[in-house]
Formats: sequence, C-alpha cells, structure tokens
Amino acid sequence: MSETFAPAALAEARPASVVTEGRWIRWLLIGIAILFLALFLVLPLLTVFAQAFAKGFAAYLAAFTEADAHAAIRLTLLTAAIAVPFNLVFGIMASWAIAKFEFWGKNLLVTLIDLPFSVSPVVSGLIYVLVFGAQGLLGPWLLAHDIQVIFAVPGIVLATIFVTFPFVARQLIPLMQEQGTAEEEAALTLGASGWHAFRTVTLPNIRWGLLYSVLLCNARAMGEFGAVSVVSGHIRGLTNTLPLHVEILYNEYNFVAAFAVASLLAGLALVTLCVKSLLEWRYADEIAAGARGH
Amino acid sequence: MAPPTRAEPFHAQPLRPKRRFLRPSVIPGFGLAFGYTLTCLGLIVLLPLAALVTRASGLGLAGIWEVATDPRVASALRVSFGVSLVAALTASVFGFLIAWVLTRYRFPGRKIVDAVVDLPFALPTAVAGIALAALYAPNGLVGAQLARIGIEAAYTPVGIYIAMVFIGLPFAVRTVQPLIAEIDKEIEEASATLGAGRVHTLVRVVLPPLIPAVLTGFALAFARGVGEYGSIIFIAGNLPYVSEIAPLLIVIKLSEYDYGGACAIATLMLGISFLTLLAINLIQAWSRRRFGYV
Amino acid sequence: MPGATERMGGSTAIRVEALSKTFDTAAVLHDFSLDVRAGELLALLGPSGSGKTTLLRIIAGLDFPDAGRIVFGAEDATRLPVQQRAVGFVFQHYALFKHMSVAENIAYGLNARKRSERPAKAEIRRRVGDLLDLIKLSGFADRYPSQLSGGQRQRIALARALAVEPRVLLLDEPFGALDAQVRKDLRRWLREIHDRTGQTTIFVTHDQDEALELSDRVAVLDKGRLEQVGTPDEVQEAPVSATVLKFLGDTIEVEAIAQGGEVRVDGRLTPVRAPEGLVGPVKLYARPWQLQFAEGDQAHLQGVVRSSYRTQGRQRIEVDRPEGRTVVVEAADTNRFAAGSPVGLRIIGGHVFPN
Repeated sequence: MSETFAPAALAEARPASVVTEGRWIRWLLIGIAILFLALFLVLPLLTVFAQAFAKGFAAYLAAFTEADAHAAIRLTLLTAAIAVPFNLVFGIMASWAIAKFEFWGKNLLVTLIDLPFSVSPVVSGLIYVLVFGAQGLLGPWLLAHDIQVIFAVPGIVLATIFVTFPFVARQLIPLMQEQGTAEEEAALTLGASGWHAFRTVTLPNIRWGLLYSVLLCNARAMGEFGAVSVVSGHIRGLTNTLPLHVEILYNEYNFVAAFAVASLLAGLALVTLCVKSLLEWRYADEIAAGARGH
Repeated sequence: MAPPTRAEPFHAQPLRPKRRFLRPSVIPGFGLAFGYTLTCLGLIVLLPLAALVTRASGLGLAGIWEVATDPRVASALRVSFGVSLVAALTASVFGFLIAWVLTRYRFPGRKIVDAVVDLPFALPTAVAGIALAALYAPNGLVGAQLARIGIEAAYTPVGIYIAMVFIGLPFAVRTVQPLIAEIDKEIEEASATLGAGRVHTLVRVVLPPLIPAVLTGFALAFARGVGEYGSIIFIAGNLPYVSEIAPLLIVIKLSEYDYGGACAIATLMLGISFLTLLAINLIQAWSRRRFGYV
Repeated sequence: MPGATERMGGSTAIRVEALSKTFDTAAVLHDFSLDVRAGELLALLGPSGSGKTTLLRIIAGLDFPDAGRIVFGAEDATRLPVQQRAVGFVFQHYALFKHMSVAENIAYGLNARKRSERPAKAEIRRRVGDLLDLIKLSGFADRYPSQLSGGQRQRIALARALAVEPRVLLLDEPFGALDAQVRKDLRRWLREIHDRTGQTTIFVTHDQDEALELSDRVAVLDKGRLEQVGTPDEVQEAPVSATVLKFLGDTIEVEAIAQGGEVRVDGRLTPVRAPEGLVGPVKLYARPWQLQFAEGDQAHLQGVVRSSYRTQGRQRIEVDRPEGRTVVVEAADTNRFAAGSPVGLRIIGGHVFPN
C-alpha cells in the first residue's frame, strides 16, 4: 500500500524551513532594511561626491590648491601622527596590565578608560579649555611661560588624544583576556625575558586586533570635529584641521570647495570601512573578542 | 629535639593572609604597564574631567539649576533630549529589523550591506553634517520632495531627528546583531512542535531574550544623540528656541567666556551620560540574573 | 492518561513508508520503512550518520523527505506542517525557553493554542501541576531553567512535550548531554514514565546499552537503512547481519569454514551452528564472554597476552593474535594473566555470517 509521491510535488507543498518566515515576508523585510539604509546612510555619502563634482573636475581640484587647504591637511596628518601612536602605546600598556594580571580595582580602571567614549565631543574640548585656557587651571602659568595650548596646535592634539583614548585599549583588552597568559608563561619557562616574550609571543597574537583598532583610531583622529572645534580657535592656516576647514568653507557658502575637501575625508572613511570589513571577514577570531565591545 | 631558644620573641602568624592588591605572577612588567596606564589616565582623562567637576561644584546645585532653567538653555536641553529620544526609538526599531535581516536571511550583497551599517562610525561628523544639510535643504534632493508634502526638514527639529537617526543606527544594529546570531534554532523548533504559529513563536520565544540588547542599543543611541555636535549643527540651522542643541550652547557660552554657564550645561549632559551608563549596567545585570547570560 | 487504552495493542500508530532523504549528494535515508506500534517504546539505534536523527525530525515535521510518506494512524501526514502534527519533541540540549519559568515552559503548548481550543487557566495550571508531580519536580513551578541542573531541565522538557498530549513522543538523544550517573537515573525514570502513561515513544540513541535496557523494540540503522527491528532479545540472539551484531557490542571476528551446518576454525569444530545453505568461508563473530581460556586441542585460537585490566568485577584481557589482530576476552576476576604469556582461546558461542 505504499504510494511514493513525486519529489516535485512534495517540494511545492513544503515551506523552506520551520524556523523562518515565508518567502514574501522575507523579501519585504529585506527591501525595507535596504531602503532604510539607502535613504539614511548611503544617500548622504553619495551627496558628498555629487556636490563635490557639481561644477566639474576643475572646480573640484581647485579646492586643493588653496594654501589653507594644504595647511589643514598637514595639521590633520600631524595630529593623527601624534595621537594614534600615543594611544597605541597606551592601549598596549593598559591591556598588558589589565589582561595579564589580577588586581583589585580592575573593573574600575576599565570603566575609567572607557570614559572618553561616553563624553560628548564638545564637552571633551571644554574640559581642556578649563585646564589650559586663559581662564583655566593652568592659564596663568602658561601665560607666564608664553606657552599657547588652546587655540594652538598642542590643544588640538590633546583634544584628539582624549577623544580617541580608549580605542586601542578597549579592542585589545578583551582580546588579550581571551588569549590568557599560558603562552607567555610557557615562553618564560623556556628562558625568555619579559620583553622578548612580549615581542615574540604576545604581539603576533594581537597583531590583527592591533591593526584593526589602529585603523579605527586613525579614522576618528582625522575626522574629529566637535572637540577640536572647541579648542582650535579656527585660525585659518594655523589651527584648522580638515573637518574644521570643511566647516569654514561651508559657512562661506563655498559649497563645491567644502564638499571637495569633505570628499577627501569621505574617501578616507570608505577606505577605513573596506579595510575594516576585510579584516573582519578574514580574521574574525583574531579580533573577535574585541568586536563585541563596541 | 631541643626546645627552641628564647633568644628572639616568637611572632604568631596572622590567621588571615594580608589582603593583596596584586595577585603574584611570574609575568613581568606590571609595575611599568600599570604605572604608565595610571599616569596617562590621570593626565589625559581624569585631570581635565576633574577640572569640570570642580568648576561645576563651584557653581553649586543652585547655580546649575539657574542655568538649566534659563529659557534658552531649557529649550536647547529639551531639543537635545527630546529629539534624541525619538531618534533613538526609530534607530532601535529599524536597527533591530536590519540586524535581523542581516543575520537570518541570505541575499546578494549581504556582506556589503553589513559593512555599510558602520558608515556613521567611520564618517567624520562634519562631513555627515554638510551632506545631510545639502540633502534636506529646501532645494536638496530629499528636501525638495519633503517640501512638496509640506514637511520642512532643514532648520527644524526634523533635521536634527534625521541626523540623530543617522548616527544612532550603528549602535542599535551592532548591539543586537550578535545575540540574534546566537539564537538557538532548536528553541524555535520546540515552539513549533508545541503547536505555536510563526508569529507566536517570534513574539513569545525569540523576542523576549533580545530585549536587554535592544534596550542597551537604545540607550547607547540616545546618549550618542544627546552629545552629538558636528552632524547636527549644519542641518539644524541653530535657531534659538527652535533647533538649537545643548552642545552648541556650550560652544556659544565658551565663546562668550561664560565658563560657568558652559560648565553647568556640560555637567547636566555628563550627568545624563552617567545615568545612561548606569541604566545599561543595570539592564545587563538583570539580564544575567534572569536569563543566565547577557 | 493518553494512550493508556492503546497499550501494546499491536495497532500501528505511525507508519513510515519508503522514506528517502538526500543532503547535498549524500543519501541520508534510503527507501526507509518502519511501523511504530501504539504504546510501544521504540529505540532508533545506530552510529553517527546512520540517519536516525533525520528520521526522527522528518516524523516530527522539522525536516522534509525527498520521497516517501509518513502516516499517523489512518491519516497521511507527509504534508502536514509541524504545528499540526501533535508530536512531542524533546531535544538533546533541552531547548527550554530561558526567559520563561518552569510552569510557563510546560504550559507553553497549551497557551499557544487558539482561544477556542485553549483550556481554561485553572485547567492549565492543574495540568502543569500534575505533570510536575509526574516528573517529581513539584514545587519547581516558579524556578527558571538557568537555576536547574541538566537532569532537571531534561525532565521539564519532557513534561513540556507531554503537556500537549501528543500522539507520539520523540526524543533525540535525550540523555546525551548528561553525566553518566544522571543518565542512568533518567533512563530508569523514562521507563517508569512510559509504563505509567502508555505513551507511544520513539527515542534516538547511539548507546546500545540504553537501547537494549529501555526499549520494547529496537530498530538498528546503518547508513540510512533499516538493518533490523525487533525486541532487544531478538536483535541480540538473532541478529540478521554482521552490522547489527557488531553495533550491539564488542565482537571478536574469526575466519571460519562452514559446512553442513557445522563451523570449524582452524580445522577444529566449534559449538556454533551455521544456518542452512551457508557453506564455505565465513566470518565467525563472538562476544568477549563467548571465549574461554583453554589448552592444546581444546583451543581454537592462539595468542599472546598484551595487557589486562579489571572493570566492574570482571577481567578484560587483551590478546594479540598471530595475524596481528587484538581481541578482548572476558574472564572471571580470579584469573591472573601475565603480559607476554601465550594463551589458547576456545570459542563457546557466536554467530556466523558470509564473508
């Protein structure tokens, strides 16, 4: 009495799986998601390039011949060149102390390191004005020694360091915690010095997490606006980073130039996203422990 | 055995071992790493923040209240917090949808869409700011369409809302995404074998364990929106009492050398950030107790 | 209690007909047919990859066959969605709803029904209470899964499946994730529950002790095919193939010659009988207790002791045979065998199958 149904008939009747929604609903939801992202995220990005090239390629290039633009690029690169290595070293030191040792107050320390992440950019700039500004804590002392921090390059660098302070640490700490201390201890038993163990055992293990966090740190350092805006004083040719230069151009209704310079930063953002995604796709495990700690 | 000589007094060992700060370890470098970490933390983060706290406490609660109730300040706070609330809600809802679609469905270009979600993280705020302003201005691509149906986006809280959704979205997506990925399909199968339809399963079985993550994402998006500066000031138009945000007021007060006023507003914003962080920690603690995981 | 009137009546509760399933290019189930009798406790036994879990999931409606059909009683259920099949499924890792209390978990199936079919709240509470008593976890109603041990969670998963009064209970390696001792206790407990409720039950396992101890009938699967189905005694005493025999326990494999019903190893006669018609070179399979130590002519095989260890009151001795194979022999505890000493082995029982 056994009747065998033709496979085709069965395939029609059944749903793809018990644990998913019907086909139409799936595609509808996918559509809504993509539409939302296109409208809110992609469109603004495209606008940058559209506006930058609105008056043609010549007008686009003209934006970069300005001396002020050159100064802004130089300042941005300089700031990143100082802030990123500084926070890199800090990140490595902090995660070494936190991940490889057990001590009282560890959680508190991690929370404190995370603080800049939850502070508004403007407030980040404000607190440096409060310390180094003319009416600030160190104001009189700085004046007496003829040192200018606020409204000068040092202030910009400091504010940038503050804003990007936790980036490397919060990526490396969970990663190194996950990796544990067994390998370093093994290296020590084999006679390696602490520094040698760090160089030959720890560093290779964290290299992708390191690269990943440096990438993000750099993107933020070069793109920071709010904090830098507060401490910079907006002195053309002297204390304007690229984002500030964009603001000035925009406020002068020099839209093409503003978007042209902005396209540089947008290009940087796209490169960052690409490399970041590549790293995530290929080395998910080597950066994974940190990836959750957004 | 000869009795012990009485040459030295005999000290009894304490019954409890002394409380140690650091658990002894063979791994070297703690002193250096920990010292460096504390120094950097103190100088870069704690000192400037302390300056803010001292300035603010100098004002006293009464002083802060006075600033907070100033009509213009009150209005700016209302705008910042109110619009951020609505924007965070939007980001949470669509963020959940996007996270679900990215994790549970397969479609061409999924990986690229996944990478696009991080755009607001990578794009400098000033660039996003002018792009949104250009897009939603009355003669902009989207702004013109909205004007036709009577919605003014630029120079109104609506523009602020759009900018806040832009920056809050990645938080909403990334906090929920890992949890959706970890859902055990067997739970859904169990629900189906017990007779529940797909919607019932989604609402009663799949969704509830995700709620802590959704709330966390909401809180993060909210906190970020309140403090955001660069993405908003261009599209907002910054009309006092209408579309002026709290961070901008801080900048204005600083430019007027009203350090006290700036500090008062900053303290209020920091207070909210702190409360938000606290709320997140409480949510996660509750979740750990109830579900056994975060 | 449901099913009590159908106890071992011999009527077929579930018929699996000519089921085939292919994953990618590997055939997981091959033209598989099986009858499940009402009220019986049936074990699906086989190594990993034998298709037993796939079969269970197809019966439940969690997976779909490429060909064949499933019949519940008189109703063709092949196209019936899982929600309507009224099967109680218990997963290896429990799949309890972590955010719901024990009572809410057990009541879930009842609460998920349409309003018109849902029992009153008081009735649901009563049933949950009865089930908690049945699984000996009364008083646990308001606890949460994260507060319970693995064994307790599994019992709750079972109660949750029973709450909807399913036509059949399906258990997928239910004790696989538990400690050895808990596993033993739960085995005994499952048998008691089954005897009490008379529920038709199919459970999947790769542990032959479990299958033989618990079930009314055992279905032995290998590579997607049904090798044999019968009572535990039947499959052990009359295995139909070498596969079944080998899967049900340790075996010693010996070359032998069958002729006229007699089986000889190395020319010497063994007490093993060959089935009619089986002539020529065959393989003789014996269990460790079907070999005895013997001397000279009495011994069928020769070997050298490699090592011995004691377990559960008996000695297991590893003996190296000249052809390079090592066999394990069981002997009473009192014997002592030195490594390296030559021994003779005598076959006192076993089965033969063609080469």
